[in-house]
Amino acid sequence: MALARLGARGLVGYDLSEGAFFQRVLPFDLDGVEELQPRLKDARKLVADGGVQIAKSGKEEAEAWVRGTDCEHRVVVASDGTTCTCPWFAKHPGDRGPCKHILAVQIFTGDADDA
Amino acid sequence: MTPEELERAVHSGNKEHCLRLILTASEDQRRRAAKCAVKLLRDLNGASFEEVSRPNLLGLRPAWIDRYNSAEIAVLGTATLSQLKKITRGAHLGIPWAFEILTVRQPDWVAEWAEWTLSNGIWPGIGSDYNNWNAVRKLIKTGRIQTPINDAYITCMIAAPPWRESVKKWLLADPNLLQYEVWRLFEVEGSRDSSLAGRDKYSNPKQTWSAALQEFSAEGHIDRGRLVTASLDALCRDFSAFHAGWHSKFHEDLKPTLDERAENVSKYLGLVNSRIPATVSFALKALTVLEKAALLAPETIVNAVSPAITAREKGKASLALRLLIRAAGQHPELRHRAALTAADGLLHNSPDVQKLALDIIEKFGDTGSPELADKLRLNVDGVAPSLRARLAALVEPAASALRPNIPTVEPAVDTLEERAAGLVSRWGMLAGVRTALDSLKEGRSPRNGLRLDPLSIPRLDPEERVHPIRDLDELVAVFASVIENYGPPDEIERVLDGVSRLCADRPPDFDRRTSALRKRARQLLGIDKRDLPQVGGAVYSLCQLALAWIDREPIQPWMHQPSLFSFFHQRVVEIGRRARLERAAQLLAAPTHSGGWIDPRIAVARFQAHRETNLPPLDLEERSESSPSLWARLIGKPREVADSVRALAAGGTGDRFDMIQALLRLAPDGRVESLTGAGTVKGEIGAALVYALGGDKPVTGNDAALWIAAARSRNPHGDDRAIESRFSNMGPDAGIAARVTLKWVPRKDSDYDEQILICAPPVPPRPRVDVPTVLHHAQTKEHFHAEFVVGPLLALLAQVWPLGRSAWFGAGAYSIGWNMDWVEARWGDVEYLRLLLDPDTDLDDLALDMLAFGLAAREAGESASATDGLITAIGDGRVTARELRQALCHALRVKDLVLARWSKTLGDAARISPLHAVTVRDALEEVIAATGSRKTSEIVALLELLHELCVETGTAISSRDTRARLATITGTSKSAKLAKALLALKPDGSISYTRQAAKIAAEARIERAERWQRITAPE
Repeated sequence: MALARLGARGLVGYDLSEGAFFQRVLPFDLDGVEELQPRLKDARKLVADGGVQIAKSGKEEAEAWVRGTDCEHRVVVASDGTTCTCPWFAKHPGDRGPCKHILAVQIFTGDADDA
Repeated sequence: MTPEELERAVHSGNKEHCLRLILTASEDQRRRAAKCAVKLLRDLNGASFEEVSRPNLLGLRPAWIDRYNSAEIAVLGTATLSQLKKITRGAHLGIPWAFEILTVRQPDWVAEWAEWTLSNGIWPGIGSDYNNWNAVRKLIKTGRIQTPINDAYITCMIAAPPWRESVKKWLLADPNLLQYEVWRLFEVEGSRDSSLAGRDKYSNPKQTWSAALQEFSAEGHIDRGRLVTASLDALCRDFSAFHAGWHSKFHEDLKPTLDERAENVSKYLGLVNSRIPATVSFALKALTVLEKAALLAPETIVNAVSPAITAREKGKASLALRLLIRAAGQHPELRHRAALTAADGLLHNSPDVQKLALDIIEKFGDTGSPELADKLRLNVDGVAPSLRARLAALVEPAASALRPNIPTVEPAVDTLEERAAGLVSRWGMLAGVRTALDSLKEGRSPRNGLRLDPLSIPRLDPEERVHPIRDLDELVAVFASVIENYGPPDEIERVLDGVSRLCADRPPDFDRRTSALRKRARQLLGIDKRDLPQVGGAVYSLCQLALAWIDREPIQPWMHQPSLFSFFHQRVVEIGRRARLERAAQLLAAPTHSGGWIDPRIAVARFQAHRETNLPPLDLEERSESSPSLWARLIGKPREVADSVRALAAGGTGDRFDMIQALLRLAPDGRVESLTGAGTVKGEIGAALVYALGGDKPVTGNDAALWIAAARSRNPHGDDRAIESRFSNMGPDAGIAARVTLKWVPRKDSDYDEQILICAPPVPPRPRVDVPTVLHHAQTKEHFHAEFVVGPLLALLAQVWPLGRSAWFGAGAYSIGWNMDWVEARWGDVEYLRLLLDPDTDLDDLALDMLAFGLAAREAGESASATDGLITAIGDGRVTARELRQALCHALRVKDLVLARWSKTLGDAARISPLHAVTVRDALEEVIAATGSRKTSEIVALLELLHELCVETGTAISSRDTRARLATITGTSKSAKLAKALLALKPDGSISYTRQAAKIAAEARIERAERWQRITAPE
């Protein structure tokens, strides 16, 4: 079980010819990690370019508009989850992590873990 | 060269002139013309199908393809790399002229272009050039760029030799490729479009890559030893099964000598762990060769074969176990370890593998060893029933006389009687509870499966309510979701209803709130790029609806033969027309409950509140940004299509399709109570509504489509003489209920039979788009097939007439039946099988046919869905041994049905519970009697399953016909041994297994009645 978990995280690999597990030393250079996270990169760019506008900020619910190409995306942060009107969120509602617009709002409001 | 000159050259379609202009211009002139060239290409990309296919008649207008090629030359000859990257298919522009143009232009981005164009893969363009590999290769050879190091260079090279030409001859024309590129073939997997496996599969065997490399090796042009090793290295690289197959075959085609194999023994051993079954078999065979030649240390075998023993494939596991037998037989010191390793084989699905493993354990194992005893004890319940006694004897000699897995607890009949007594008699009777309890007293399951009258079954489960969309923001969110995910159907219906009700709700920031949806709809329809739509089916209609609502763009009727999809599309057109005019209204046909059902009481309230929308007729001249006018699109269409569209454009109140759809969705619940209210609805629609609900109103009025919908809702599977006499000869499931039969007729060109679906009365040559019940049967006509390939669309259209499942089962049986061997990738067909999962859907003969074909389907998704369907239907009482036997025996007529696949799916179903095991066993016993026309080798897997199930249930073969059939199977084959074993079986005298099955059957029927009682209880 432990090996399966570590394998899923990419920390352990399996050598076919040796028939054994081995440790995968991952690049822990944070700059390198961000390169592999295009959504995070795009989110930072959106914030830097002034693409986030907070429309409503209440205790129960907050609403923000995030600039897209030829459109604007509405991000709603509510107690039962955060939503966005972009196609990526419509396709993978939360099952692959937040979209770049939600990340941008989180970074903007200081809610992101790594902001 | 001026931009105007280039434009004229493109319009003339004269490629040579265009190329001459590019080659003789200065780079400054070229750059100035780039914008114009890109626009010309985009315009040509956005041409309609009619424009693209129009020939160059009398030289009046050059053919589109000549103008398009000229535009490709113009763009490649003027644009920068960043401009090229923004153009659709920009990486494949002007392939035949690329080298010449880029050599003259000498841009500093040529090396980057080379990597980029190759990484875009191959494009099936016109002529023989599929990618720019030849141009890139010429640039390398002329020293303009370095050899690209990316994999795409090699992938594209595989596709570069012209078809019908020998690869060897092609390589000889550029022998430097043998130094580097050829060896990279073993390091690069290839792509879906270009790979060694794909290329060689469709080439003349003498002209393949494999043949070329073998010949070069034989002639000494390339190192044979390196080829042997490289092909094994390729197999270690985790390529897909299809791609890896080329390398294993190539390796064996090289006919490695024993010395060559011995040198690579570590690689073979490593490949035993491969995730690809064929590679494992390949490695095991190579190891067997080495072992026979005494070139492999026996302890190495024992260590290496363990993963193969637990592999899913029977052949692979058997091969590994046989290697173990040989090793242990020759080296006594390895026996205990061999037995321990073999014990893993007891977990295998195949009884043959389990038997082989048990043979090894019995022969070589030391059962006194605690390690081995523990392993064996764990597996006693998991092995095939026929082996349990043997294994139990090893683990616990005293227990060998017992038959494990017999349920020892007697079912508590009294408790079931108590539950049955608490049922409302109507539900208990419809669920067949009394029959099941009486059968239980006799110690058996019910003999007949439940038949369900669709008008008697309650459908309005409060937990399955569909909640209408509340506001604009929810509508935008759900709309965005359904166009990305193609459904689910309930959500699509919520969107249609939401647009219909909320279309007049346009707050000041409406544009801002809908901008993302608007952009996505335009993108999917290909409007912004002047390209073809990226989506089809319901999403195509929904994207147009989004633009009709947001931008007030017109939606045009479906311009093809009338089909069930065109009925859906026409509903969307109606809603779109109202949305454009902001005439908000409750949708009559919006389902109130999942599955497309409408509560009749709510339907009556909607009809009472309904006001005719009275929209003006469609404007045939109106055009939108995305398409030309309706008149223009009608040119060249078949007459029936044009007639249908004109009729739709001319008439209607704007919500006629909505009314028809609403009538077809009326649930069976609460119809009688709704009649009084329905009587107050005025006009022809009111009369039709009363008729649909079962009232006595006479058939009046002239709207055939409306009355046919009412009749099919009133009595889905019966003839309606009143309707037929008033609106005659409209097709199947109009006035006369459809009689659909599946038949097999001998093919002229082969030994096999052809399946045909016969519908009576037949589908008329021009079925009406507003009569969807008839269109359900249009699938029997060739040209209607395409739309049913798409699964999500099929699931959506199955909600048009939820009471009418017979047509779907007929279409499903036909579609899955002729494609059991997966000769065509029809991924959507699995949706037909999913209809079986609804426990309240009646299974008629066609459903049973479909089930039998699905159980024999080659495609894993189909066979798994059919297995799930069977498990559900046995569990809920719709299928007993009688129905299963009928289905299987009927399907046996299809000569190309592979019986071995049934053994897998039926075996999976039989494992679920004693009821499933008994049902499958009893059906199979009868089926074996009907296999007289089959070779015995075809039924061996079924015999094996029957034998296991007989042992499991403690029963013998009692059918005279089956015993007679088994007696005909003689000789020493496996089937003969199984037949003999089956004939020798004696009932074990215990009835607890069948009683347990009977109890499960009775419990399921009580649960069904209790469920119906719960959902019909007043809230």
